[in-house]
Amino acid sequence: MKRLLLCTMLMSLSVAMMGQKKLTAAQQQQIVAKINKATAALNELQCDFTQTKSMKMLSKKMQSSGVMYYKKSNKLRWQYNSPYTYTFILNGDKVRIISAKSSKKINVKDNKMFRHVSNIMIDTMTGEGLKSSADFNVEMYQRDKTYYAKLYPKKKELKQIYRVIEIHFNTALTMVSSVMMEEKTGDVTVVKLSNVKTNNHISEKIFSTE
Amino acid sequence: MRRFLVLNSLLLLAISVLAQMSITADTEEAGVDIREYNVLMQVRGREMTGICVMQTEADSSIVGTLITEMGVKIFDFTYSNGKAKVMNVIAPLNKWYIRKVLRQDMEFMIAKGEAMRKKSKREFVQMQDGSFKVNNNRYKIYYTFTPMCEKKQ
Repeated sequence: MKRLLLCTMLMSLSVAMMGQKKLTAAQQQQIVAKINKATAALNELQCDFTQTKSMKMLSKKMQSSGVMYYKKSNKLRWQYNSPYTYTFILNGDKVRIISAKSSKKINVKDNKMFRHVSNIMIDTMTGEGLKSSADFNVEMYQRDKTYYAKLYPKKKELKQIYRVIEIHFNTALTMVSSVMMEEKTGDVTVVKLSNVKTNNHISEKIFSTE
Repeated sequence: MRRFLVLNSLLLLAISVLAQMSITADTEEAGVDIREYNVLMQVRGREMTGICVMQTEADSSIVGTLITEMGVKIFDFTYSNGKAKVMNVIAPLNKWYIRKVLRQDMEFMIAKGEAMRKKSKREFVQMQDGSFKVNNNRYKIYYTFTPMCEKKQ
């Protein structure tokens, strides 16, 4: 019985250890430098995405999907195509939101919340968030051959919503593969990117807020 | 060594069975009715949109959530025995007087206005296309709920 308990404990420990390994400061610096080098060369990005939201209070997971376009340095089109249509366009300080029932323009300068949401989207989807030391405490982890960053918000506005944001990278450390956002309420949103194309000339019209 | 291998296999089997059980629990809950709505909220001339998910449990109680299309929670609510509760309200809206109005509006909406029609300045309007409106005329807050899909599990 004692041996059984010992084996169970050892097994549980090894399962837990297999999960993740936190990088040392030196390792983190090295990996972040590699990611930064890749993001510096990233001028344009387009991809498909799937978003899955698990809500603590509900048994159902909500899934949606769409396309994303990004152009350096501050242009983003985040477009949901299924199961609803909703488009968020950021172009500099201007945001346009188009939904089935309304369309509106917002100046990000006048709206703190939108400024933070816009920054988070660009920072996480491009990996730029690793540089934002003013916004996040960053910890890097390794699982098998892949790396991911845990971003802990520093600013009050973000802390009120998110507990942690995880950015997962591809094995070559050149691109974000998925983003996990855990809210303070325990809800978790996972965004997975696919069919990623980089620096593949995206028309300016895509980012028009007019 | 053989005993250790057997034990390991059993543990791995147990872990995989547990994982499968949790997946099943996520997707197959008997007697649970889940409805999703696109929501348009108009507050004193300003508009915002979102998604409302309402889950009716076997005992007729309701748990629901309102989130933005991009997945950020606005608030959660529950409804049981004719009473609603609002919780986890997003920081900018998390004020007692806002929570109070949201709670009353959710209560009115779920009860389809029946219980409170005479004593409140609210209206419940059922549209022919299946959508419905809740008008809070006192605070000039107007909600439109349009069904996204209906799923009976």
